[in-house]
Amino acid sequence: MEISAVHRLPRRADVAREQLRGVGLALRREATVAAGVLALASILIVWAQLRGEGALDLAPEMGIPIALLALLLPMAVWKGEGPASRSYHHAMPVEIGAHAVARGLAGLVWMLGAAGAYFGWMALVAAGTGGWVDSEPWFRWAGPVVGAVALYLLGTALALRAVHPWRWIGGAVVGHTFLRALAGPGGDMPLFRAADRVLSGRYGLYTLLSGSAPVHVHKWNDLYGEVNYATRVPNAGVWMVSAWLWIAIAITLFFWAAYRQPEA
Amino acid sequence: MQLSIDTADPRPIHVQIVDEVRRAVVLGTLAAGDVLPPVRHMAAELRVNPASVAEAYRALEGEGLVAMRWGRGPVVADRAAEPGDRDALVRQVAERALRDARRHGIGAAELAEAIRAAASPSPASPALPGDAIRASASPRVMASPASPALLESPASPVQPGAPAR
Amino acid sequence: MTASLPVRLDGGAFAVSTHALTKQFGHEFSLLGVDLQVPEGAVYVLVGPNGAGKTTTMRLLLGLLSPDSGRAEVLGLDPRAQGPLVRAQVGYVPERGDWGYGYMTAGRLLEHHAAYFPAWDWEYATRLVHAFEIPLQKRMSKLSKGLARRVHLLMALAHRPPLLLLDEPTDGLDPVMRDETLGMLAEHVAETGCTVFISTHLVHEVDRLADHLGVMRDGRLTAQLPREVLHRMLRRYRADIPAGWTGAPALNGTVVKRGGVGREIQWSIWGEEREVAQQLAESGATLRDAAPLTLEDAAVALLSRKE
Repeated sequence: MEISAVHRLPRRADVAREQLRGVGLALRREATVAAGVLALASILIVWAQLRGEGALDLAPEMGIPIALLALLLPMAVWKGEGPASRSYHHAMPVEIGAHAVARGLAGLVWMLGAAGAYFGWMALVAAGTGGWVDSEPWFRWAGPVVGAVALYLLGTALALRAVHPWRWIGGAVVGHTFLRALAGPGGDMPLFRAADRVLSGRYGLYTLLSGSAPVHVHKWNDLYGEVNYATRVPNAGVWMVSAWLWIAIAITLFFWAAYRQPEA
Repeated sequence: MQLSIDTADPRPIHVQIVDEVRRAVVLGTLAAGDVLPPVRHMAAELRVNPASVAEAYRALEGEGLVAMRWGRGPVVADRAAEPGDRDALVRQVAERALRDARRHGIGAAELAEAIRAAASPSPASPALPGDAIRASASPRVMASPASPALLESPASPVQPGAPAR
Repeated sequence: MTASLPVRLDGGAFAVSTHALTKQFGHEFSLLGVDLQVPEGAVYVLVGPNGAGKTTTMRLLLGLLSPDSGRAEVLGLDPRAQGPLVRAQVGYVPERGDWGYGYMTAGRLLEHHAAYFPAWDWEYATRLVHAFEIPLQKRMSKLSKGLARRVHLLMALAHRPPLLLLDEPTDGLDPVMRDETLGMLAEHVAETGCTVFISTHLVHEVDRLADHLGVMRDGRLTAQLPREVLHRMLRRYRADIPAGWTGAPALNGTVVKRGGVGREIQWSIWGEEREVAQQLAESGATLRDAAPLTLEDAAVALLSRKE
């Protein structure tokens, strides 16, 4: 049988463009909510300024909430399309894995745009209130952005594979809290130590987001007994390692999830 | 153009289409020069496979009832409905009646007699549609208890075998 | 007389053909050795109970699933190796199900779909929009199920694909729209000469359109034949039986469905009418009628046949 030349595959550029527009449409509601929150915050800041409150500085830590939201953004990008209800997306004349990657990257573009808008707003606030920009090393500013990218890719992997991604996130939070309580003030339980290392270890999530690596771990006696305490100091080398590690793992899981979507 | 197609009919669909067109030509509702819809429009209107329509049109052309035109629907041929057409129509009706009769265990001769009786309505025999105009002229027939068909109320249950769709 | 219902079609050019297609989900076989054959330009209707494997078959043909064994060929292509190219040639209307995109308006969704199918014909699409009465500016999530279904149908038709895979296409539509949809489909087939593969429960409605029938039960294709063969070979025989009738042993195996009232049997029997009539007469029954079945009655008879 002859295949008609008319019914050919779509151009990659067209697919990319459509996914970008589609995801933009899908995120409209979330964008409205975010804009509303920023508007409210602006009003509060203006009101505080009028009452003579001081200046607001621009610090890299302000980017950390963005990074944490980036983990949740994929749920909105893939809303209504759990692993069992992705028929339309899969039925397009595009390789299934590649198509998921296209959608994921489209969401990433919008996320970076949103992050840029947020930083822009913060800069305006700082300028408007006469605050100054923290003179921080470059990697402290890069931290939240790189962290956001990594968390977004990880969140996408979760959204692609899990039927109820929210349950996994909730479960992780509950699990961590539970482990912490079990481990007690000394934090001496191996399982808890491992989980904690992912978050606040030398190359952990907090290092990635803030650019500050833990140093001078020392013990401390307080009401509850012995506690491990560490001061954190910006360290470019440690941050770079942490960044590469997180990005590598995130990209791997992202592509694995995209090309290994459950058969529906 | 609405033709009467019945999927419960023993005749295949393309045969039904041919018969319906023949009927229209014989009765005069389709005259020479009238145009039938092209295959795709006829198929769409009847919700029928276009191949059946195409086959029917070919058969009609073979019988000389229509002439095919390229790119347009066929046109009814410029010939008066020949006696052969009418014969074919009558034979069809007769075959249907015979089939129905056989299902009820009625022979051909018995059927012919009943047809003759039914064709001349009397107060004792139920009225047929078409005879209603004649019957309305004699109100006594309308009220006659010997005409059970007229006494049936509209709420009477549907007879088994009547099409429900 | 043995009655093995035909399961293979004669002829050459098939738009779709599968060879011993088998698919398992866990321990259950969704499809077992299916040899589907859909001729080019045919309107092929697949009937079967829920869970028989009809939807799985379609997904395999589109390359959305991989078979555990066997292979499929769609328009000369292997869906496993060239899934995207196969899907580019096919207009697919999946079973009713929510698949996101509720936030898009109908018009936007059509534009989205058109970007993926370069063969999209906007003129035809516009005609269909008017025929299906689709409110383009309304969000998909706000449309009734029937309207949403019509949008899906439109998306499948508008790029005039050589093959249509329709999974319950008229499900959720009101009777008037169902009727009009079938008319649209008939016209589409006439204009494009495409092949149509329909899976449906509403067999009555596609009776006039279908020219091939496939019967699927428990993952197996128990019958596959052209409509005209079905029309000729499967008939409902009504016969009076005498008292003490012991049946017609010669017909064992060919009787698809038994029924009757009192001393009249109404059996659906597979075979040449002349031979069956003879067998019945020889057994002592008096034949009254031998009528072909509607597609729906035939499907019911074939589906409820005990193997």
